[in-house]
This record gives sequence, structure tokens and C-alpha cells, in this order.
Amino acid sequence: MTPSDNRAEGEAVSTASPRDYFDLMKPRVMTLVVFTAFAGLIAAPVDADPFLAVMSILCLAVGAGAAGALNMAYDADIDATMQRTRKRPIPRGVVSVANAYGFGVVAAILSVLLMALASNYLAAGLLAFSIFFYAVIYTMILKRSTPQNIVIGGAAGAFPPMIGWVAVTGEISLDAVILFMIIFLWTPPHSWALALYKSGDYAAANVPMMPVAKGAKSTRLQILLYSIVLVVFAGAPVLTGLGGAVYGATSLGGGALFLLLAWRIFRSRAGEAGSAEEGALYAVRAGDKAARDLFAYSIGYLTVLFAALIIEHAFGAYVAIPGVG
Amino acid sequence: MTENETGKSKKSVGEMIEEVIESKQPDYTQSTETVRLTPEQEKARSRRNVVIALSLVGFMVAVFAITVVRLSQNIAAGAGA
Repeated sequence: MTPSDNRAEGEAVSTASPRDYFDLMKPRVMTLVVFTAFAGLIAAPVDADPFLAVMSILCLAVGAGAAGALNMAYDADIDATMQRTRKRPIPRGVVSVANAYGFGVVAAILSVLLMALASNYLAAGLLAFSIFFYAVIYTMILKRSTPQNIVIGGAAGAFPPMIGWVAVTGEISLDAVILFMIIFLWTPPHSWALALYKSGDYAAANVPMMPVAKGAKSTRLQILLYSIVLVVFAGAPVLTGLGGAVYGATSLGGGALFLLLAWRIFRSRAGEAGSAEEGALYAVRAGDKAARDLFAYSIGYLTVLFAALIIEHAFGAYVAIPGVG
Repeated sequence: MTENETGKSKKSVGEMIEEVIESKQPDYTQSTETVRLTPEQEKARSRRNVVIALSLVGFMVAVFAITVVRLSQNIAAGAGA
């Protein structure tokens, strides 16, 4: 500093890197969004222009990231309390809440506009609605007010394959609704399995997740019931002809293992031993192992289901099941 | 510059214009920062600026490319009709 330098100290100026803003977009969630949207797009009975298809997927990814940034901006207080989320950019103090809102809103607007240009207005409208649903309906209203938060809010995460489908077909068909429903039904057992072994975290943040509001026993029962409904419903693509032999076999085998793990949770005392207060996403105390196993497996289950659709429709592996569809 | 009858120097119009232009030029030798940044803050800001610039360029290229592809499709569809 020179003697004539009377400038103020720039303490309020951010040291956030582009990577911190990327982290605001929840990259892991974005990966699943891109994957399921791609499956919906590939499974649709239309030959899409490859460039426009890629652009549509990119818009979806940015839109999902925008919703994630808005979620982190609003939930900054919760994230700072919970072990699992306190290393996110806002609780760490590298990105301000206002900047996160600004980033989220701009990314949301650009992604929707570009989606309208690259595909059609219906897909762009669905993308806009899914961002609104996640950021406002789920994050600002449901999450802090009801244990059914992720049941209803799960719809936001279920939109990507439907949007991928609509981006190339221009319409919402039965198959698009089925893809939506698979993720919608998958969300409760997936999220509650995590909530069971992180219930202390949610309780400390006053988030009424099911294990906190209704107890571990009720949650374990609901996980089992939702798992049964999910596994049965996951066979629906075979009935409509959307899924062939590969999908059918994957759904059957994957579903059986899903039910087995859900049954193990039901019979366990998961969620009652307290939460794994320290450590990463998969850190768990011995009593909660069944919950951790289902949480981890559920991600693989959904991935494999949609991968089967991609393999069948993109690589010519579709073999119709005789007498079905 | 010339000298008049009273001995005072007289500026030409061109010199006066030059003077006015020069007087409005910012002094680039002085910093325009209103706050004093640490090297870390300056580096982070530069990185953010680069990414924002690249994102804007990417957005413009995407809009242009999508427009071209859609126009081509529509022209082809019109020719086939």
C-alpha cells in the first residue's frame, strides 16, 4: 500500500472459485439428472437431431444445477447445522447467499430459454416448472413443514426423464409418465434410508424428516411398503413395450435385491441407535448398516434400470417379450 | 502556438481541442479499484471473470448453432413439402 492509497480493505470481496459455484449446482444430483434424462430421450420413439438432443440435455443439467443453487441459498442455515452439508460453499463462507440466489436465477432463466430454442415450449415449460417445484414448493414450503416433504418433493427429481422424452417427441405420453413415476416412487425409500442413519443430523436442524417426526419404526415400515410398490411398478415399461427382455430381467433381478434390502431394514433396528454424527455420506454405526446398504444400493438400482433402457434403445438390444406389451 | 500583440501566447483551435480531449482521458496509471484486494481475492476474481466470459461466449455460440440447425431443418421440411 502506498502512502496515498486510501482505499478500504476489500474484506467483503469473495474468494470463491468457479469450482465453488459448480459445487452449488450439486454435481452428483446433476449426474443422475443427465443420465435419466438421456434415458428418456433415447427411449422415445423419435429420431432426434443429435446436436439438439445434446443441447436439451445440457439445458436440463444447468436447470437442475440452478435449482440446486437456489436450494442451497435458502437452506444455508440448515446446511450449516448438518454434518453432511456443512462443507458446502455457503456454510464455508466462500459464497454469499445473495450471490447463490443470483447465480441460481440467472442459470435457471438461461437454461429454460435455451431449452425452448433447442427443443419445444412444452419441454421448456416442464423444465421451468420442475425448477420452481424444487426451489419453491419443496425447499421453501414442504421441507420444513411436513414429514411427507420428500414424497411430494420427489416429483421435482422425477421430471428429467419425462423432459428428455418431451424434448424430442413434443408430447407427454403414457411411457413418459411411467418413467416419471418410477423415480417418484423410488425417492421415498431412497431418502428415508439416508434419513434413518442421519436422523440426528436432521433433528438438530429441525427438519421433520420421517424418522424425526414419526420415529424409526414407522419409517422402516414405510420404506418396505414404498419398496414393494416401486418394484412392482418398475415392471410397467415391460407391459407398454417400452422395456424389452433386458429391461425386464434387470427390473426383476434388481427389484428382488431391492426388496431383500428393504426387508432387512424392516427387521433391523436402523435409526434407533442414533445417527452417525461424524464422517461422510456413507459413514454409519453398526445398527444402521441395513439403512446404509439400501441407500447405496438404491442409487445403483435406478442407474441400472435406466441403463437397461439405454442399452435396449441405443444399441439395438431391444428384444420384445412374447405375449407382453 | 503564436504570440499576439499583448505578448500573450494564443492557442490554435487544434491545440485547444487536443487539450480538452486529453483532460477527459482517465489516468490509467492510477488504480480504479475502490477497495484494496488481497492477491488471493484478485486471483479468484480473475478466475470468475474468465469463466463468466467463457459462459457468455458459450451461450452465444449455442444460440447461434441451435438457430442454424433449426433453420436448416425448417428449410428442408419446406422444400420437401
